[in-house]
Amino acid sequence: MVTGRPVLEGIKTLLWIFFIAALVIGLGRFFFGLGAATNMTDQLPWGFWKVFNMVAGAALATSGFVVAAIIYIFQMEKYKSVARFSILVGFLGYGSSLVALLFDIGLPHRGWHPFFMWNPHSFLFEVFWCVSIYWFVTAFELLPLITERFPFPKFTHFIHEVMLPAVILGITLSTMHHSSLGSLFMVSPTRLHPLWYSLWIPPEFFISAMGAGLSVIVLLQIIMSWLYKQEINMKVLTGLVKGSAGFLLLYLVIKVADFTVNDKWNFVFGPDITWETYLFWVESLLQVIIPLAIFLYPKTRNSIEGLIFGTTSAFIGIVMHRLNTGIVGYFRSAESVYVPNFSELLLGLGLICGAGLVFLFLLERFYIFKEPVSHGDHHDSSDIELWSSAEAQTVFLGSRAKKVGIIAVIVIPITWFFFRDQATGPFQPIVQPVEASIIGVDPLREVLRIDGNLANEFVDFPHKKHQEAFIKEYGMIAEETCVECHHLNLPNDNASNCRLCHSDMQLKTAIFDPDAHIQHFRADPEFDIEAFMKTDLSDRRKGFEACFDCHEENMKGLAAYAVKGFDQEAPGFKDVMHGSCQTCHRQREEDRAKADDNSNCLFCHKINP
Amino acid sequence: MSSVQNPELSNSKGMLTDVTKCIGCERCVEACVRQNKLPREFPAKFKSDDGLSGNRFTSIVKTDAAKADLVRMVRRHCLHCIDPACLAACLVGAFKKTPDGAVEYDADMCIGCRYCMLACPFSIPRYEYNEPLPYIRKCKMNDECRAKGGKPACVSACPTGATIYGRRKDLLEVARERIKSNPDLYIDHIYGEKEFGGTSVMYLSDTPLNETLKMPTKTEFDRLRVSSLAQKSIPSMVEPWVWVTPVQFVAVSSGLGVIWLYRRKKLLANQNNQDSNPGNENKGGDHGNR
Repeated sequence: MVTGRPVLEGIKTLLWIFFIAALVIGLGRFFFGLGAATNMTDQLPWGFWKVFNMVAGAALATSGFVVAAIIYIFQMEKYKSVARFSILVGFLGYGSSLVALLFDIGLPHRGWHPFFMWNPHSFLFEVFWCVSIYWFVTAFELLPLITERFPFPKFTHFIHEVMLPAVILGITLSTMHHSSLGSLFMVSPTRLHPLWYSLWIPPEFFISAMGAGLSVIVLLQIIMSWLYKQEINMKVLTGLVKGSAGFLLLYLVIKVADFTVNDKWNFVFGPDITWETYLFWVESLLQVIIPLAIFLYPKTRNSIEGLIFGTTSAFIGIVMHRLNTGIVGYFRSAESVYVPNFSELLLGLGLICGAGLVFLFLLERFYIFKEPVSHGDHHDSSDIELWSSAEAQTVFLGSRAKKVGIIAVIVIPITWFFFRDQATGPFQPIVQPVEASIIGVDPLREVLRIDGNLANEFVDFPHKKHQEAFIKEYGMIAEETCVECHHLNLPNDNASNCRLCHSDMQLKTAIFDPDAHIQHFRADPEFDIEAFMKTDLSDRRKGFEACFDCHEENMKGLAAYAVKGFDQEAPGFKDVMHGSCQTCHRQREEDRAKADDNSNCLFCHKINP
Repeated sequence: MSSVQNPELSNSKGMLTDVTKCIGCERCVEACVRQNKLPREFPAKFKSDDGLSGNRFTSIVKTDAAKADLVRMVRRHCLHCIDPACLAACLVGAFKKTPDGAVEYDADMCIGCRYCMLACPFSIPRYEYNEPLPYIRKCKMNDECRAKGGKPACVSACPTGATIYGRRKDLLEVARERIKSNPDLYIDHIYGEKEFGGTSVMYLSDTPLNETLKMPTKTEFDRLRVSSLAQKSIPSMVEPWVWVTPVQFVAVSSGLGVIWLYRRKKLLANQNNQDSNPGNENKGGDHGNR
């Protein structure tokens, strides 16, 4: 068919690398969720995949229906040479967008729901129906491209016969969904910045999409013609950019009228100048003003350099406009910023690369640059080289398959490694441990940072404040305050032996007098002092029980837990901690004079930013 | 579409939160967590500044003490609009407004497009971003308790009576009464009476709510140059455009057909002319382009 320049092989390798990486990310999204794969938040729920791939992607792929209208409806035979090219761009552009959406929506296995569950009030419903049907219509329009190389001329002929209604349906659906893609953002008058919000969005989106679509087709035509050493038909391309300029001019007029009628010039020229204003200026310059300047002036319009420059500018401009409307315009009201992360970019762009691969594949094997002699009565089949089995073999076997295999083997682990690294990132707690221990202590020992269940979630406990409160309110001495809470197990232990802490049982301290202890036992006739003295205190449970029988009162927080099988196993650190805190604070709450609202869980268990 | 005059909703229930009475104890949050058996809070990435997340349907927002003289706490949760934007936005119709006044979400229909999140003027619906197959999560005004004829758990839990539950009509009267009896304290405005076509959850405040609750108010609309929309619900605002589409379908397709016929006729006429004068150069040029 057509032969490409040597650089084409390198380009294809790049496309394969990005495409395979995108598939890996796509797989990862279903393992780790959208939160791991993207940077979307609750305030900015529409990210790169929706706004770039779908909203901007649809605008870039407008060429399909505009050129179809030029050729089939307005019957301008001159443009027939770009017909298949532009319809194919439309088909593949929409195809890659729809695939991206499958990764973006939360429950892609329910993608068929809108066909059966209707809500005609929704703009998205409209977009869904129009886009999905339109995609099949473009596929139908492209069928002759494939079938003409196979020996069933009757079928090909039949498709040509019913082409007109299909084209009309396709164009109608396009006009509907391009405006509806704009209306999608009309539901947020308070959230979208007024530079992009307007009740006039639908026509603005529709017209700017047509302008950009024609520019994109010219740019692609130039690039592909160069890559495949095809002759560039300047007459056709200048005709197309003239059309593009017409739409852009119309867009400019509508936009100016919109800003005047809705009184929004203050956001453009002041006094309400913010960073959005500058962004808007760059966008308008690229999207409308530069392309218009080039396309309206015959000298630049007729030169390849001028065309490349102008169409590239229009291409970047329309992407900027869509991203600004769908994402950036929401930053101010959301009070946060969304920047797509690497996996989002990779998947979004990688799917377009995949579409590019299909594009090149079809370009090389089917009649796309040149439609073989026009269909109809004088169909000359000798013009067309039929598909051979030798050609089929080159598709799936040979050096290409080997190359793709090698790329996959290299790219898959690398992508997975980086994605895995990123995916596990956000799940780490925001409060970092002070030390790798259960209780972190701040340098002043005023606040304890407790992680009872070792789950890396910390509760800040104002230790010093509690000490002071006991001293002040209950008239305790400093050492005494400890006992109010600290008759506990050791952290993360189930039945700590009392002796572990009370190793100084023979010494008299502020809170413990061993002599008084023994005398107290002797005074009680029912107490079996001999058995007590023989208790093996090194046995954890027996040691604990020996003390607890009498000292229940000292262990305020533990009382409640004595009921639930306390003889079996002492409560863990978490239970004791909760018991201690809640017992005291709930008691205080009943005493209205001292009431505070510290007794509920959430008082402590907030994840501190 | 439903509106304030919808007879079905005339007896709908609602909530009234008196911002001046809230002490920020978060008992309502605790009750909500218990009632809905919500799991642990997400890691901080999935939690927004206002405290709502896929696992928290209500939260307490506090004014920044550094910025405002008056520290106020406000409950933030779904306002259960009378004409909800999420309901109109959802492409499968997973949301419905019950006669009770609540806006309920049917997880079995949802496809996860998150358009409701974009459409909600209060930015309430939350998403389970950490799930491979996520759903939308939001306050459902405690459907279990309402089914038994009771109050939502968060209302029962409120120790100060800052949030009360009842018929929306009655609540409006209560609110007016309070403003009347204490005009020095309250701002003479019931937030939710008319905002976005009215909401079932209303607020009474002594401080502007756009500062505390980050709620869009009329000043916001004025600033954004869309003040004409301030009292309208979002669905009623965009409704005309929805009905443009079917008209567009008929108009565009028939228009295209007419153009095709016209062009065809003209081309045929040209061709006949050319056939009568063989050797016309136009035809040759046409072929050259290919």
